[in-house]
Amino acid sequence: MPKLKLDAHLYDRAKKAAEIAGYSSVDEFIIHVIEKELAQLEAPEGEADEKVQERLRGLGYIE
Amino acid sequence: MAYQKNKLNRRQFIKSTAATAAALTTGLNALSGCGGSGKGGPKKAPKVIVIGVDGMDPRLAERLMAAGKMPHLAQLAQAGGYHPLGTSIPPQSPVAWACFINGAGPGSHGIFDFIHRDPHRQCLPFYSAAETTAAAGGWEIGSHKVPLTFWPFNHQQSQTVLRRAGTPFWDYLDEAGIESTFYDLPSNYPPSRSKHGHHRCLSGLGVTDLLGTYGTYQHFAEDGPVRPVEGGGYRHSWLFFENDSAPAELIGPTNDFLIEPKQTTINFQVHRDRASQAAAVDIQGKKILLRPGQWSGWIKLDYPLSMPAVMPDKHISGICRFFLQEVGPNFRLFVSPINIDPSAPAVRITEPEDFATDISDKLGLFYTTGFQEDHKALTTRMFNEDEFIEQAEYVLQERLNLLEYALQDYDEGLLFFYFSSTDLQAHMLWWDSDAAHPTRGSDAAQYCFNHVQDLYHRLDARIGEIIKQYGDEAAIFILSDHGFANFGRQFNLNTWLRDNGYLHPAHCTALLPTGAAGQVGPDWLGTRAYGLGINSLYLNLAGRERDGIVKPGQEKEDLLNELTAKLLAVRDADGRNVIRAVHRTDQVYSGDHTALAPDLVIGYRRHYRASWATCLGDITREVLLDNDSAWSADHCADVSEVPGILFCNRPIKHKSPALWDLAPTILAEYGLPPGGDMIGRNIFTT
Repeated sequence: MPKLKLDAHLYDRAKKAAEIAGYSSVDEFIIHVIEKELAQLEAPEGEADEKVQERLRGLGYIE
Repeated sequence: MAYQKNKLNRRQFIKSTAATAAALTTGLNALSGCGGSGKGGPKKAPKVIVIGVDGMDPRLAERLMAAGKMPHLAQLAQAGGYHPLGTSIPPQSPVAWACFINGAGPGSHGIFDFIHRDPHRQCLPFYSAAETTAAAGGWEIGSHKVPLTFWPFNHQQSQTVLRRAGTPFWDYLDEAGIESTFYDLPSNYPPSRSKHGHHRCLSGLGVTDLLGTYGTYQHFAEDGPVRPVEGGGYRHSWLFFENDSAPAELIGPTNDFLIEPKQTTINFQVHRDRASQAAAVDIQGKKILLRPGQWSGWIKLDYPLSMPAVMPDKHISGICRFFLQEVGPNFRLFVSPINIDPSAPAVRITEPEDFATDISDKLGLFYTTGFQEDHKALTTRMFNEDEFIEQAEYVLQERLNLLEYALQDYDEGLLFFYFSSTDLQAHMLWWDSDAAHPTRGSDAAQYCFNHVQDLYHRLDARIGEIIKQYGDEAAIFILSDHGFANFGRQFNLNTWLRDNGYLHPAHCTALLPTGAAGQVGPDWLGTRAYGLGINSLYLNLAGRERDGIVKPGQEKEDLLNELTAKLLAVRDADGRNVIRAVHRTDQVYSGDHTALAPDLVIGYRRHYRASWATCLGDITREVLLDNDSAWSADHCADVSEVPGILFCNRPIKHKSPALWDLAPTILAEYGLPPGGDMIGRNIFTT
């Protein structure tokens, strides 16, 4: 499994945050954060775009 | 009725603490001519009253004045206080009112159409005047996100941001210590902040409903669709009665505290009594009894937003009105868009925040959405004309009550009050031609247009009362942002661009394909121009559009000239020109905020407008089509076709006043110079 290097200070901050948030380990916390960010970056934009267009149709000037 | 002002709100607090600073800066200079300390206490700032009548048309107003139907405004006109008012390119309300606000053209405020596009996402559209960002981050527990704002959770609330750029003219009044109050102001949502506490505003056009839309009504009927059908501005549902009772569900705001955000709902029951022709709506402990044709008053709704078990649920308050259309044989119940509750606003709709509750404390509940008339219900045929007129009349009456409140609360400085009735009623009811109306017979079309004329007459009467009451002590302006014209034929700009080889491929059917069967999207690497919004044409410009191919410089110049010439030559089947003018924005716009401007603005002749389909990039077979909608009048034409009106209780000396001239004129009333970006000039000077 690939390993990542973290700055010691960043690791300490992540460790504290993992404890506050109730994660069982720093690894679990970091994996969760990365997954969440990736999910946002990789999310298809289609649904949100369609919602925006639907909203614009409600202006009246567009049917 | 006298309104008490006995509580120290945020505005008063800011004013009390800022008073010394204001007096020591520009305020001292500004007020020296009209106030300051003196015998008998501080003098008050002069009164200036501005009445905005959206869409009031000079042709109709002049005809009615000549016929004696608008005697009070006619009196102003006879005294030299009338002129058609120059409007913006294009004459769309968000663009035009922002010009009024900045005292300058669109290049100063950055709003060019109802709809803008993101060139980096190859023309994805968005509402031009405000932007709503989704919530992000937070601490995830089970199915919820807890809004912890500190690292590493970094929760960011969903928020709406005003996109209008530049400096609104009231900022100069605010800085000078002069009070200004605006009711239903367009192009100012969320309302801009008052730095010195002398400015109040209730936002108008642009304010959404609780669903985050520009007004979505909900309709329940026995012959409704089994699965709810939703579209832009409506939701149609089926009601199934058992023993004359039927369950129903009212959708509400989205719960962003869920990891997978979900729309909230309120379950309610409908009971009917066919024998006595009545129904009861049973919702959240309230029982509303209605007869066919009867509207309820405003009903408060409490939408709970579930939170993790360790935290109490949050609540959002909305308001709606129920309208029973029919008990039988086909039960039909209409529910207005869920408005933001002004007595407990879930989002900020006023500046200061407690201005909304101050008004509501005295007036009760009222429409807060920017579009208050339920126009969508008429275009979807859920309303007939009389039902629309009745609802629109309620809006007008509510606003007349608000005007009464505004005047009683008014003591000094600037008062701005806005009426939407002249715009949205005209869109739906105006038709001043012998030609066939898109959806009505000639008698019905005349009946509806008579209502518009009667509306002008009644507003003239109310304005006459204001002139009588304040004419001796206040400068009074009545203005509209544009006029009106029949909308009989529609022009699909994108079809025209495709058929003339500017938009590829030749069988393209949509700029923004949704994935529907049979749709063909554009080949951007072969597309040189596209239309988006109501009057906007964009080049697919290299270096600006993500997939741009038109080179800046000579290629761009040649293409703009070629498009302009060809568009001006477009003729309808009967030989009429369709387009009056094509405006190059690099020639007509100036200012620091032109980055999102289109390259060309299409100025249609009266009777024509952009087609319904082309505004969001849909391409129809025909370039020119009949308008088939009850939305049968419009103003998104050429700037020269639909000027607004300007009345004043003093002679207007400016030979061609325009919207941007009002701000410097108002500032001059207080001895203040025009703001730095303003291009307008005082209408009382030649």
